[in-house]
Amino acid sequence: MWLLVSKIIRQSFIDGPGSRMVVFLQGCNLRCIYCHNPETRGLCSACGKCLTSCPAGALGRQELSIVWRAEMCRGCECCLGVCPESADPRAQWLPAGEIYRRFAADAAFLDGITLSGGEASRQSREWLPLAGWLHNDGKTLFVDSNGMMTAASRQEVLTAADGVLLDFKALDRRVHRALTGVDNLPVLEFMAAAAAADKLYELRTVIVPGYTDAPDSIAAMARHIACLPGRPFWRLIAFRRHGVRGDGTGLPEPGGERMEELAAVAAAVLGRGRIIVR
Amino acid sequence: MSDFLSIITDSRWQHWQKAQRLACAAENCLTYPAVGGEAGKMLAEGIICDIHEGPAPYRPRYTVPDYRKFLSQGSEFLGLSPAGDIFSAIGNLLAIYRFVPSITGYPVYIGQLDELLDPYLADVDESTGRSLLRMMMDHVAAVLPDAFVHANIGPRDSSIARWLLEIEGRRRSAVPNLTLKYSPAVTPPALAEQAALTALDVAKPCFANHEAYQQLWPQGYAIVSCYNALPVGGGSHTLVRLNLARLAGQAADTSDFLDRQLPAAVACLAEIINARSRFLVEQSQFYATSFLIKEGLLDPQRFTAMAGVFGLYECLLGLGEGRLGQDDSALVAARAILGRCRQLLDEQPAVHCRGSGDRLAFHAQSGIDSDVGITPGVRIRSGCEPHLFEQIKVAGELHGYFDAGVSDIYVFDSTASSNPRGLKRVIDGAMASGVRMLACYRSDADLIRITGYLVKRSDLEKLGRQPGLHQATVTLAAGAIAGGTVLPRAVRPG
Ligand code: SF4
Ligand code: SF4
Ligand code: SF4
Repeated sequence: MWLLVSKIIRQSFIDGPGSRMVVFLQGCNLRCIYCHNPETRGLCSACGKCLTSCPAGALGRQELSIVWRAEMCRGCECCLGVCPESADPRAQWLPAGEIYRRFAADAAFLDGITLSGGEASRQSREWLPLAGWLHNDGKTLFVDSNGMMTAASRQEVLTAADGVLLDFKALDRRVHRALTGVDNLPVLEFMAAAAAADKLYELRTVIVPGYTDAPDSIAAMARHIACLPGRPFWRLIAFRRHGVRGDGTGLPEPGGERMEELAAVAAAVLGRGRIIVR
Repeated sequence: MSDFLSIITDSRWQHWQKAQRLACAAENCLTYPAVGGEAGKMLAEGIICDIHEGPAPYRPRYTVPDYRKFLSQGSEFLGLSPAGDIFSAIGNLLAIYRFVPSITGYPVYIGQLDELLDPYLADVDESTGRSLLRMMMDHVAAVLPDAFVHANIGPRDSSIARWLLEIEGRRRSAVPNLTLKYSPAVTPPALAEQAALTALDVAKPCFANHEAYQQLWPQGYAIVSCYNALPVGGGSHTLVRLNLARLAGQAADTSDFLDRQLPAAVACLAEIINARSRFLVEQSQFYATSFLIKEGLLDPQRFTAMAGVFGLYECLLGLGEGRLGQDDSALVAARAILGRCRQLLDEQPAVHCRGSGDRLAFHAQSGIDSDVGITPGVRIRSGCEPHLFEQIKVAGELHGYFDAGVSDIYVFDSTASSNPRGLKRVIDGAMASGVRMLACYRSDADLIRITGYLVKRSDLEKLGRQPGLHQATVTLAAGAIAGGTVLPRAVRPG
């Protein structure tokens, strides 16, 4: 079982309960205008455009695919901007066993792994064995998802993962469409299913002025969350232009005061203890 | 004489600060305890350093009184009755602290406060108990303004431990320093998480590996001063340290270092320690005169003397073994060096060291203000740290060589504050990896650690503008940063 991995962070405090290793999987089915990691969305078509962009000569071609030489890479990210596919030539195919091996070396300091992305559910069949290995060690597997997935993946996520961190981009369907290009009905369904399975750990909303920063819509989202079983946390994330490409670069960033104001609106419904602002 | 006059006429210090400096200057007029030529040379060259202890020790470097005994029996010398309630318990403690000697002039240990005070809490309601504890901490900080003044709590849960964490989180003062004796098996997770969150904010408490220290000091230990682990009811006569970095400068290669330089230096180190212990015990009359000894609060049989090392990082660089934390060769060499140090120390006589089974105690010294470009203890040089987990694993490999204290400092970003459970996991992992003592703080916090002592960033900034700050350690820390000496004391080897 091989996974296409965009990057691995050895430790994070903000991707689920406790101290966690985060594995970012390459490939996403959405194209949100505010996406902070656009390079994790696409899959490489081996077009070769990035080869000449690399000042370090770290990229090359081998038969039909692109090879990245980690030891030569300077991390300048010049290769990302030129990619027509929103892919990342540095993404690596790793066996699930290799990911587990890296986790095991740091296991004393970790509660588990969180799979993020991109969209982690797209490789659910490939990462399924990881869940069993972690559970054998008394560790947990969490999945960070946008909620848009096939019925099979949904089944796999909800049975194998210990918890889900789910994007709740907007409750208003028009706003959701404007941000992502798709309707939010599947997300709301997955949200309800995850909550019913007692696996909904956290919901995440990016606050974009003009789209998701109206106190009324935050209050409506809070009421929606209040009706879910399982008391998930709700993380409000201030939109930042950093890393964003395309139309999103023209969006305004919310100020700290606005974030606090919205947090207060959310807290009035859900209680302060469930709201996280970042 | 002009030295004395310049202290007296200095406009930077309060009168009591001048009195301390005058005492140092007077002691420095005396000759150093007699040591051989080779030892004298190493002192003069700074390969061995007595940390400005002064040439004629008349009190132990660190004392760790048995305050429990003190509360139960009172003190004839001080005219105090046994403590009967929380009021007299706190009153008696505040009375005795001033008479607890140490190298700094302030007590380096003010007790295991939860064990001392929890038994008296039945008399008062919670709000009175909290107010008393707050008053006690304010009093300690005002009267004993030195961040080496150290209180202990844990590993068990108690009201005092929880209140103290809350109070110290709010007081935001470098004084007193605080250690949680931590055992994942005994300390409730809620207390550990509260302690971890407090540490992020105010750089205390430190976490001591209770399981490890309990085994090392089965009759009871305390964490005092700057991460020293010492037996309760005793202490350490002295601490003399070996500058591994400077010694490495004399070695042809690692085997020369291990086979020739270290044996010679450790022999000199032990000779100086023993000469100082002998002067203190046999000439200064401390142990014959102190009321703490007479009343059984200190027991000469529970004293040790400490051999310290520091500058391992630069030592390894100098020997061409690579960068600790990056290169495997450096870790292998580090283990060989520390193992050799311990072995060589055990071959030396240990005068008046019944408290540690007639062996010299071994300490990774966390540095002083005058160490320029030399890393404290066995730490990785700051700014050169690998990933946090690697840093912890390296510390875990090296801490096991030290019985009398060793420590590491971990800096977390602001995301850790939202996740105490994750922070506890990392701390538990560190303990399981063999780390014996750790401090942590948040990268954006005001209270931080400089080499070992606690200091406020804002006080450091003030120091430039306003001399004579209340806390002695602020000046020390500023010195450590500037790399200059703040309290120069002439060392005159005999
Ligand atoms: S779902 Fe996430 S990764 Fe995918 S496009 Fe949207 S913001 Fe980017
Ligand atoms: S990473 Fe992008 S630019 Fe490079 S070869 Fe693949 S698709 Fe082309
Ligand atoms: S980040 Fe991309 S462009 Fe930069 S050195 Fe690495 S591979 Fe080359």
